Amino acid sequence: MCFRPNRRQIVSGLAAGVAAATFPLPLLAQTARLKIAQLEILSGGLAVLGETNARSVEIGAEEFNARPGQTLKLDIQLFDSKGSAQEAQAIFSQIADDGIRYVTGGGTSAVVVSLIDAISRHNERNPGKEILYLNHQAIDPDFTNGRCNFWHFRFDPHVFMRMEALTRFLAADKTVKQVFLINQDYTFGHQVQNSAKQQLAEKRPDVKIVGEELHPIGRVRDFSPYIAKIKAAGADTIITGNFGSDLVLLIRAANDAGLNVKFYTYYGNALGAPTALGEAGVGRMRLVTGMDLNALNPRMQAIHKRFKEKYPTLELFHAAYFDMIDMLGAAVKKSGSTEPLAVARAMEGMTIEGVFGPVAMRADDHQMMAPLFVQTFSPADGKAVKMGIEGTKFGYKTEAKYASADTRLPHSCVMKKPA
Amino acid sequence: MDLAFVTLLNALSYGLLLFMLAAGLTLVFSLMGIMNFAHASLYMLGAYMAYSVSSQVGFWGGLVVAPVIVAGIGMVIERYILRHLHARGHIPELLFTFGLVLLIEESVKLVWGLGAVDYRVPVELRGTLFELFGARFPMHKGFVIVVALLSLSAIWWLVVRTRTGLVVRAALANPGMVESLGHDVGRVFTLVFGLGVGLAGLAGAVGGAVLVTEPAMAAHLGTIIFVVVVVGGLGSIKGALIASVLIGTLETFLIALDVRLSDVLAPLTGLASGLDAVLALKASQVAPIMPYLLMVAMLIFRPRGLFGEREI
Amino acid sequence: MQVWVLAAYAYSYQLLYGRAGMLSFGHAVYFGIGAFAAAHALNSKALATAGFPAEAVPLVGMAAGFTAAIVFGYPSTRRAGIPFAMVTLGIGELVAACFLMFPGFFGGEAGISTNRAGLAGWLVQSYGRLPTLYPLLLAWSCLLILAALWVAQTPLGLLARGVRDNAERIGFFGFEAAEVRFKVMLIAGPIAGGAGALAAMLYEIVSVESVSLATSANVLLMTVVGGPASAVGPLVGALALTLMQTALAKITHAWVFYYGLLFILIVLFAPQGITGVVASGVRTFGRLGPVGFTRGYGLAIAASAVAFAGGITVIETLFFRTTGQADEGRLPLLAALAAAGVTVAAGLWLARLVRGRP
Repeated sequence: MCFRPNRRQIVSGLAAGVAAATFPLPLLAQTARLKIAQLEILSGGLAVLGETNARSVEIGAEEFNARPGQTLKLDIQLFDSKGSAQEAQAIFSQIADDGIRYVTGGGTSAVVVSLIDAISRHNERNPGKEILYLNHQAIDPDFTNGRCNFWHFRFDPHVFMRMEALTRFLAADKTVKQVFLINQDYTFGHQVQNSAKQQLAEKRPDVKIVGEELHPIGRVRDFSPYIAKIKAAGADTIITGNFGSDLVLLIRAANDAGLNVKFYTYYGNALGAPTALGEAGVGRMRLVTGMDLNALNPRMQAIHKRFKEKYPTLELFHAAYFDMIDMLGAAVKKSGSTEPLAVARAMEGMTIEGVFGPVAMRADDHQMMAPLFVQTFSPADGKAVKMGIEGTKFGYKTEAKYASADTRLPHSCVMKKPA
Repeated sequence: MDLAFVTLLNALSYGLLLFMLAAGLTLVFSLMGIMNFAHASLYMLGAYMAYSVSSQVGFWGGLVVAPVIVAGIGMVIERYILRHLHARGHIPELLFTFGLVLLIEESVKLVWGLGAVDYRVPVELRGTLFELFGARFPMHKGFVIVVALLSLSAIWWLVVRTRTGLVVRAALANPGMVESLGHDVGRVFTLVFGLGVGLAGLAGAVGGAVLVTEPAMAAHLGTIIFVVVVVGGLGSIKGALIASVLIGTLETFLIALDVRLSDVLAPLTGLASGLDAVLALKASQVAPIMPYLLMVAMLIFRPRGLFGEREI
Repeated sequence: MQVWVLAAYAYSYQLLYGRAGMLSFGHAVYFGIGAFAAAHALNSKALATAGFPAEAVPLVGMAAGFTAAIVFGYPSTRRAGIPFAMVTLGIGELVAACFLMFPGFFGGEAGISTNRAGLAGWLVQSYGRLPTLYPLLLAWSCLLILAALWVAQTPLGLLARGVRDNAERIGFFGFEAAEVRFKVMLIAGPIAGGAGALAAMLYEIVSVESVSLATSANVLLMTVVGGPASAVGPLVGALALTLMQTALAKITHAWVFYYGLLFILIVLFAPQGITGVVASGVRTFGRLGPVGFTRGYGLAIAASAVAFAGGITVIETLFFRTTGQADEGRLPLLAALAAAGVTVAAGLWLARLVRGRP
């Protein structure tokens, strides 16, 4: 533990929020404990993602609790959802029995949908014992559109917002003429494909979508037939939501075939892609992300250092956890209560200084507006690319930053709010 | 045409990788009746072992040492566990190897971590083998083909041409007789199991480098190799070879094709309005279920497989 | 409650594996199809207006399970033993893949959500709250379990046992073994479907996971761990699995490892499962009395305790090493190596003891 006090003070001052500072704070007198149940996939194929989420939140909460004069202590209780919707339900009823009022976590869409639905049913059936869901990772746009719910807050820009940043970047690049879309055949892949088509057509009608492919998730061992199609279509740019081995094998197959195109990805910084690609990805793998490791503020530098010390095999590739923790703290302060209803109301429309600039929680759909970055995979040189990731000598160079307002998209949420 | 040719070579490379796995499995199954559920897990173990060894002595060293280690592990398992289960029949053996799948996957995560490891083909194999009509065929795929063919000939030689192979085949037909002739049947079985598992290890050492070495790699190939063995037919290395290449080709070509079922059935329109969801699927989307469809059909209509000597 | 639903599922599997010797790797097909049917029934407006009672939803699951058993059961039960295992594995993968291909009906990977209060009850207006739901689920699970146990006692159940032990001889008696297997499947299918429907009511979401290999594997593990031949076996197995998934998963992330280990030990040393071990322990206790029992088993118990402790140390240390915590230094690693030695020694000793037991 080595957070420098002077930095801490600056940061916690920021975190308290503009609005919070002017209100009387009845909680300041004594320390309040806030229990949060965190459900992550800690076993099975996606365990590395769950483990990263769990440890990032752990370090974030540790830092939050250690701030001088902190009167709110976050108590994170970790559960293994095993990536199973049924398991998540079983854990949820346990959480409800234990009287825990806050839930966070991520995982597959099935788990998150089941949690959102379970919470909305629980809150209907148990007035006065409401539970609030703080979503830091699941980026299906539906959760703050068609499926939006008063008891769900998302702190991470969703698929369409990320695509907005990505297409803005593409639109500015006049060398882009022919785009190919290749994605995994499931909801997320479909969303990437459809939003890419729609948003590119709006911004650059001259860019041609020369092909689109959906492939079975996690089952393709040899991407060369796809690459042959991409080559035949004459694409210069590929947009893909692939992750893990589906991304690695895709880019490797492209290299084998001598296909010289740029890959715009969602997960090029995680799940083994940097490790398995190494120099094969340099200059061609691009990324849209909410995390810029080259522009960490002092607080994030301390968090990053602590994280890497404690968990050297994991990677801090996501920023939403920290904005989530800060906004929760600010909302408790503002409302003077740890009751989910009061905290939820306080968070609606709240703006705080996030880790990469101001972030705002839109009241209408409970979607956080946060900065996004487009980056290119490059060798770590200590300057433009501050550090290598996943133990490699490669990291991401920031090409463009989009402030919260830039990726603000309309929503279709019709939210029923408690009276 | 050129595209089809390169696609065929790609399919061959993938199919032969499958074959290396399936050959070991079918060898063990046909000789010992053990359906080794953990075969793909041992393939994964081979990849991780090769990764660890190669970080010390280089890729080629890993390629040699890893299969030997995996074969050793397999022989220990056969000698000290499977042999005792044998008396209780094949189902407990299957159950045991099923449990082994869980144990190996968790152990791999414990030892090597949850994420992928940096195990790749060496620089020598990263280039292009040849270029045909503008389509490149990468060296490492040629390498897979060569290793697979070499191991195929080695097995063939071992089983058909050597004295040990003779004893193995005899032991299969009549273990009691071979025993009374003074051969140690138990040792033969241990050797065969070690050989089969070692092949999986070799496939892992090669496949791990060409594909991705991660804890999920066993699950990715786990069930497909059973399909290969069943479709190829029991006890037939030739069947395993044909089935591997067949399934590799099937998957690869279905991806390369750009048709929908509705296009194929266009002349029959009006026949199936309720099946719109089925007909709208692209061939490439159907590709992953084709092997299983083939396997189920095979088990129902031709239980002995393509080249099986007997029904399973 | 989870335990009872899983137990109903496990009893259906016991009929197949424990009674008829059919080792299936695709039993989740029946469970999952039952669950999807039940979820669609709960969501159905037509059923709600027709006054279909919520109590009868498991019947929908059973009907679906029965249909699935006719469609998939017929081809698979032609074979026995390992071929049967392979066919069921293939069918399981096939169905799971199909579920993702038709998101319209199966809800894609997010699954379909439902509300158990969607259909009004016949006894109670709404089963929304858990305390009202539990008696219904309990009653249905017991019904399904008793049905499975009853079937095992009928002539068909006895025939099934014959098919398991010696299919050829059953043939001499004029029964077609494949036909017996198919009949058993026709009963196990609906029971699994009913259990799936109960799961749909309990969890209010059904996803592809319900038909996945993992769900098939779970029921196999439960049945084998509990005791494939015992009347309380599947219940014990379901309890063991649930305990491991909840209690143990809270303590350690390596719980899957321990579960696999438990399974392997049971396959190796106690084919009759936990209930078998307990039963034989009780029998020996009765025969030898407390003193003799302690002398005979005390050694084995002590040895396994040592092995257990050693094993846990190794695994936990490894686990901490891989998930980070580098600041804990090299000490745990040394401890792990020492413990590993002890474990291997104790394990071998235990194995010898167990094998040497009369």
